[in-house]
Amino acid sequence: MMFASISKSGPGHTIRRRVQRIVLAIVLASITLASGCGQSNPEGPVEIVFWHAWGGFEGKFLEKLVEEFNETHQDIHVRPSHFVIGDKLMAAIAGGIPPDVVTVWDWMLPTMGEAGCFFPLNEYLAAEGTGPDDYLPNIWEYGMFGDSKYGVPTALNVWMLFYNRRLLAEAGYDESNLPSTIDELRTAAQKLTVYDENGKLQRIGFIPQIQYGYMWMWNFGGQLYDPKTRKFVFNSPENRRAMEWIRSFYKEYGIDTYRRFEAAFGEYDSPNNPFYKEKLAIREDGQWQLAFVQKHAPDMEYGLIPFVSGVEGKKSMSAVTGSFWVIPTGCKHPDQAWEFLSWLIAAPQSARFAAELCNIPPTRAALEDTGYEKVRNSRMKIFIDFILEGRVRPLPALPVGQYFYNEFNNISEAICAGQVSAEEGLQQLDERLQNELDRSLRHLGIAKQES
Amino acid sequence: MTPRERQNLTNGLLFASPWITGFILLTAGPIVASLYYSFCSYNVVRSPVWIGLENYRTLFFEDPHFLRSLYNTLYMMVFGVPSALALAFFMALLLNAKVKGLAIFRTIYYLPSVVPIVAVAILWVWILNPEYGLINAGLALFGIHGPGWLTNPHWSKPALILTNLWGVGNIMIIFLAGLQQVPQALYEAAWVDGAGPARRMVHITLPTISPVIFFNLIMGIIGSFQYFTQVYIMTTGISPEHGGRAGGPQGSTLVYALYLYQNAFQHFKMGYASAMAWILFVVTLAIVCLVLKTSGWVHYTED
Repeated sequence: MMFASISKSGPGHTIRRRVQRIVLAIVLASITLASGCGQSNPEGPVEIVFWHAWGGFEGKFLEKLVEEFNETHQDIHVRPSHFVIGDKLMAAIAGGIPPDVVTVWDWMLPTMGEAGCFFPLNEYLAAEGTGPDDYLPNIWEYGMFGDSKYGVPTALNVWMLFYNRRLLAEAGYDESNLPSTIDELRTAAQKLTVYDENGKLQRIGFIPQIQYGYMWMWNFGGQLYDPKTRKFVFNSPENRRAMEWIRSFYKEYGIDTYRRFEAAFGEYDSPNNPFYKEKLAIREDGQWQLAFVQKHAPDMEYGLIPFVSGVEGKKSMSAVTGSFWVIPTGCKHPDQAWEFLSWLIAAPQSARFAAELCNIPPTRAALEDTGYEKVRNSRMKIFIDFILEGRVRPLPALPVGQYFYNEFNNISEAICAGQVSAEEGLQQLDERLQNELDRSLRHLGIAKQES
Repeated sequence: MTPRERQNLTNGLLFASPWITGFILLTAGPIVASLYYSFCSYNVVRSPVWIGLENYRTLFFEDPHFLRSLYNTLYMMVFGVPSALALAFFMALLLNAKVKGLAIFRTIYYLPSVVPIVAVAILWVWILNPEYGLINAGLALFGIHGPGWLTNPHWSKPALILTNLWGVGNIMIIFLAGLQQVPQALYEAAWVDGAGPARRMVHITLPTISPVIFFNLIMGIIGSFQYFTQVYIMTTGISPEHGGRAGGPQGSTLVYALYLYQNAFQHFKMGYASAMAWILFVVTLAIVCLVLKTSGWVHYTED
């Protein structure tokens, strides 16, 4: 039809041809530009799109909770889907089609929050009368850079030293003489490290993982950042001692040897985890490991060392990590999203969710809830007590979260590899982070003024 | 222009309009926008704020990773491109010989290029594994204690180059096509004059296919500046909470495109990343111009 009309060129056909061409162009253009816009029915329930970060049995349980919500709330329908936290969320927010409720890692919360990605929840929380005292100690402030609460914690993770009971018994350790100082831990690590006849590493007693070095800084009495002055304080005598202690392990094994050894580790979330395979006798790990061991290595006997302090007379410290639930800006139904979120973090749901995941619920009410009772009195107790005693800290909440994390790793790695001294390295770390934070705050300031 | 020609032009443009629309909206638009963003502080969500040359100043004078990533990329280019060209050329020569089962050999040598790049990267993580990997197992047969390829900062870039060599099939095909264009008459004349295989190679084969070598060189240089996927996958460690970090060990594989990606999508510094992209463009342009300037060795035969 189109081709036939092209060959003719009488004046009578011109207008029709033009119209045909324009129609064709519009059709083709709309095909290229077609996007999957969702339709919403004004009569039916409001649909809330919920992206969560849990797969497997954890995700299934969460989706069961969502079903309960949908059954009891006729005017809201929550559609859950599992996603891997990453670029996709930023793209969805920037594109103006974000999910209504979504999970983000703790370090992303202030970074993306200050960037303008999330609704501050302060007013919602205030309207419900929720405040710092409803949360476990130090948890209300967790993830807050300024005054805005950009999210609420999903469930908490606390870190401990896990040890292989059989291997430690072989080396002469039992409940009564577990390492309880930095030096004792060092000695135990040496005793438990095994080489074969060719001098090849077979097992490592203990090695502080580079990316978690900040936990040892706290245990040596150091600080990372002062939120009052907004200054980084890595280069302190305490932190230098901590870094030198960490480095001593890598020096002893040889960083190249250790990395080769590590490259042969099996996957973390599998029966080949090096801790189950006795490649590591003592390891820093989170409390979820209680559930993981049960799943992957049910016969394994392990125990817990509540970290060790590097300062005499001071109690040991641990880290709290986790994720947050947020409502992205650009979400069409923030009120309904909050209604769902508020239900999800209420004590009965929060308790059951944390119990299923072997995590710790963030609020006092959920911790006391009957849904959590069984877990509270299990081996989880030591983790929970750590929080209740105020012996856990989160990483500082910063608008430059990923930068902080990357740079901490880069410099710690350089120190452990002997490229720079602990002092030089920590000095560099302070400078780089401070520059980045100051620059970011300056830009944010201009952006806020202009908008 | 006759009415007929004008008509054809309009129709032609209309039929090309999906592509033109796509090009303007999805390619040209963003390119122009990125130039503007490179002078802004821009995190995608808030509107961009003009900060002049600050991004460029920070990159050149304050950012310790910028120069390192440029160095890593240049390293990949200087050592990676010639070795890929040499290997592809060598393979093309072999596959140009008249032997039995030529089609099968050609298929086998080209096969790795068909495998998706992500699968190749994951496969090579295992091949390069210092303890269980094929390469170190092979070296052990000769009593050599193989290096920790991806775990040692001195070996990580060579390891990536080695990985890339596995996928030179595309370059090889172009060489092969070039080799088949060399006029047989020239070889025959040279043979009559008593030229041996080496002289035939130097005086006939190489000059005749020099435009093909040149083409592959330019494409290889451009490709090495965009090198990203393999390094991103192969150097991401396993970390239960934070999803690993690419570019290690000790920043030895932090190539330019990877650092650009980190700034754009992890640190949400889209303006900064745009500045990096424009610097990359200028550097690529400069190097390609340099290669073009020194292309006296390329012979074009007139038809």
